[in-house]
Amino acid sequence: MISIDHVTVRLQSRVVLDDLALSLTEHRIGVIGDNGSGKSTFAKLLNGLLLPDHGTVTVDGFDTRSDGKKVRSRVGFLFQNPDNQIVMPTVAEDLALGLKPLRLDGDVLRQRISDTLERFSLSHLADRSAHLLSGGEKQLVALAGVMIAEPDILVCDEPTTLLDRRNAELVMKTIADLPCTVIVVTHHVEHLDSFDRVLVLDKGRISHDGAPDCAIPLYLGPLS
Amino acid sequence: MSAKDTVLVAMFAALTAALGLLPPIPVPFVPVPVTGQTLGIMLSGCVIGARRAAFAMLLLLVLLALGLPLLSGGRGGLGVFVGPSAGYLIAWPLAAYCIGAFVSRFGASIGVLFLANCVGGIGLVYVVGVPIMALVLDLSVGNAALAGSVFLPGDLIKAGVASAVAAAVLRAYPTQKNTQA
Amino acid sequence: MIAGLYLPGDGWIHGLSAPVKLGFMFFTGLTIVVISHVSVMVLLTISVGFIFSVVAGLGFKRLWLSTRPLLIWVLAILLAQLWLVSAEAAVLISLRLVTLVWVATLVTYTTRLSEMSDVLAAMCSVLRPLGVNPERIAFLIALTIRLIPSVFDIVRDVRDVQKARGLERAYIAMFVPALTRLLRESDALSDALTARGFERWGDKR
Repeated sequence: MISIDHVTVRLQSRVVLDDLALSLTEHRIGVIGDNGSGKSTFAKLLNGLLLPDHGTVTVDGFDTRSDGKKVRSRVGFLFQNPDNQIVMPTVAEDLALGLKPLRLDGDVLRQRISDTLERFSLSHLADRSAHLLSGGEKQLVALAGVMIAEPDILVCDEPTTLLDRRNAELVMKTIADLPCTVIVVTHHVEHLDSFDRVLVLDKGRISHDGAPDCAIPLYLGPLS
Repeated sequence: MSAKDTVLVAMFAALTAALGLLPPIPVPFVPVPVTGQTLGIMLSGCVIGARRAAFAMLLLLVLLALGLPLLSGGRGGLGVFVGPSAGYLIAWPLAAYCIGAFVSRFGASIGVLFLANCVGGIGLVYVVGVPIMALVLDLSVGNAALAGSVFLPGDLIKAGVASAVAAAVLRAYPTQKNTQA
Repeated sequence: MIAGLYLPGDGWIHGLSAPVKLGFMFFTGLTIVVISHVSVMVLLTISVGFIFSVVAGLGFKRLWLSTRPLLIWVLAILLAQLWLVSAEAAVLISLRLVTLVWVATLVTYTTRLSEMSDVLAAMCSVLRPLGVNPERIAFLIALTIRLIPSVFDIVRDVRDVQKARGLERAYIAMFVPALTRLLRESDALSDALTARGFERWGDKR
């Protein structure tokens, strides 16, 4: 469970998130909002990549400020641009990087990598150069690199923004099928229909909060 | 080292290497081609702070010694550490550190940056490089300095460019975190 | 990807371990510096050249290619020494320089990058008590090698954009956007590393 307790974030002098208070317990949570509404900032709060100026964020009782390492071992994070997330030259090497904190032995390590590759249907790409893959493949490699560490919660910051429609569908479907808790920040609202809860951010505040069939029309409303 | 330190060190080592891969920039009235690598040292010192910049240059030297061709013109390997310009290479980490220390001490105005680049990026590099060149070639230090001085006009231009670029970058990018040593 | 200078081969020099070759290099280097007799030096130069091109199988073309960048220096030595001291001293110093560079280049050409990295790792583990972490250094090296092509692309992209605007000589206009982009990417990359557990690498399990 993630609790956000009266959290305010300022960047320079601009208030990006304004006194948010909520707790996230659902299995599938979507976060939507316009550019500049504070979505990405919100995502980065959840694993302590960004610390609030006021208030606290706790994950399973661990404060992101004082227990950042423990929080990040529970919360996996998928970024918008896989080019910035994939660190090592080949796919298998990059997956190994995510396991480094676990200090596994060679055989166990290789087994876990091949299992994970298979789970995400990436086995054929194991020794390929990660940076020569297509956008969709790269995002799946990035996802596999996060999931191999078996986080309890996965936070995704606009995981499909840089992808074409078909690859976006594929990546979102893969994310939706994961067993862990998933929090997705996106502006592709059509992917959130099956989610349990949708938060709408507007100018740093939660403007709507509820089931997708309720929150999404309220967000899209003024446009149509 | 934090993740941020690690990435900046690797990024600026890579930048300095990449600047050597670009074709040399011809500059009017300068007889020797001006390569970008001195620029890399100066930019690192000015932008990422003394300690990280020194590590970045040290890392680049390690990569060269391991056998990667990362000097301009595709040179590299252990040979460059026994040649006449070995001293200039060895001076890179010191120069980057000196520039960074200078900037964090006296501020990042363009004048200070230029002075730092001249003192660290040119002065210090020559102070270390020239005697070693003299030693390898068995010249007097004076004659070696004379030979080394053909690079001076190019280096001064680079100090100017690096200072102007660093000043603009430090303004354009939220940097409180970047300049500390 | 950036490739090392290593040239595959099956001579026995390729088969020697990296520490042996480095030791040989160090020893030869010392000898070269100590020798003060031109005839001995000529002999040594010829033998090193022979080992380089024939025994190690690197060929005379490689030998010439690794000598070429030194010619301007050799010329400088000859001019300066002929004028100042003697022809003998000039030849001695030129041969010293050339031979030293040949020996070092020979080691680089015949030793795989991975073997050199192993030597480095061994050296680093000796320094472990001083706070040097070999694992992190290995990672730094891998990360830098992976970043060089991306950084090169960024610098070239920005240069092309400025060229299209007719600003190809405006170095400042060219480097400012490139550097800003590098810094932004550094932030993204360090966030990704942190999110992927970088800070827990050294922790005990």
